[in-house]
Amino acid sequence: MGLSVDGVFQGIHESQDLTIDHISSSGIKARSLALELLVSILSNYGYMLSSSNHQAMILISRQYLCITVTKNAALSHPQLFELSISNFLLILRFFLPVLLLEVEVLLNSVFLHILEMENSSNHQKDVVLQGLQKIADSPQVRIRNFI
Amino acid sequence: MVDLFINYDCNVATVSLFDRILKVCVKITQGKIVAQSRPTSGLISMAASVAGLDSRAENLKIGQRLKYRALCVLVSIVHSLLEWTKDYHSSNRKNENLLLEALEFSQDSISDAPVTLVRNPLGLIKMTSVRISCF
Repeated sequence: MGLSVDGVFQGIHESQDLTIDHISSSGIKARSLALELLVSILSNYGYMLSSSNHQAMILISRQYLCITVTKNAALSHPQLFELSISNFLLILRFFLPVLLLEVEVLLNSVFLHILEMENSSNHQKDVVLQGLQKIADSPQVRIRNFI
Repeated sequence: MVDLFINYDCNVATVSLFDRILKVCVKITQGKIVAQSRPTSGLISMAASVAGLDSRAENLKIGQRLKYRALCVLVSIVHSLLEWTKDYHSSNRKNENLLLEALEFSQDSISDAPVTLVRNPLGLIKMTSVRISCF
């Protein structure tokens, strides 16, 4: 399981350096497929992965998952953007106690920045607002002991 | 939502995310962040201008949809806070009832000393305020 997740992350990571202009339609398809795979892994096994509290899993999600979400959120392609938002929501749901700083950076300087920027498309703003509503819908309390 | 507030806004070292989310949503709702206007170049807009369609009405519609979404976010934030405090109040009331029973019991056992119980909700909240579970 750990190996396959690692492989998926690495596969996405390797294709990250290209900008959207250089990706062919098959590249976009491959990337969205990989992102969908990530979404399904996180939504099915996220609870297990976060409760096991493995250092390797935390390291993988810190090194690959967060960077993947950031890079795909910067793209204007609608499908990839939606998938990266779903990935982010799953990270927020399962890994908030261990990835506190990463979630802060992602939410503050990626998604809220997109919402404030005038250059971002209306579809992106719309999707971000829907994601925020999903965050706001859950009044859960999971607190990392920082005090 | 509450976990965002406690993890980020209550921490000195991190950005206050709850505050920022609220501010951005309020800005959108008040129309300070306008929806992106359609580019004037491009085949579709040219075709639209040829056909005599006004893209301004469409922009207005998109802006209104964004405002609506931002309002929905604000409403669900308030709603989730309400849900959270409902749990808090119900357990508070339970504690209050337990305290009342305990006091009545002590009043029965020591009948000489009348205990006047003032139902002071603030005092009861003070007694039961440490309820946050940390891990």
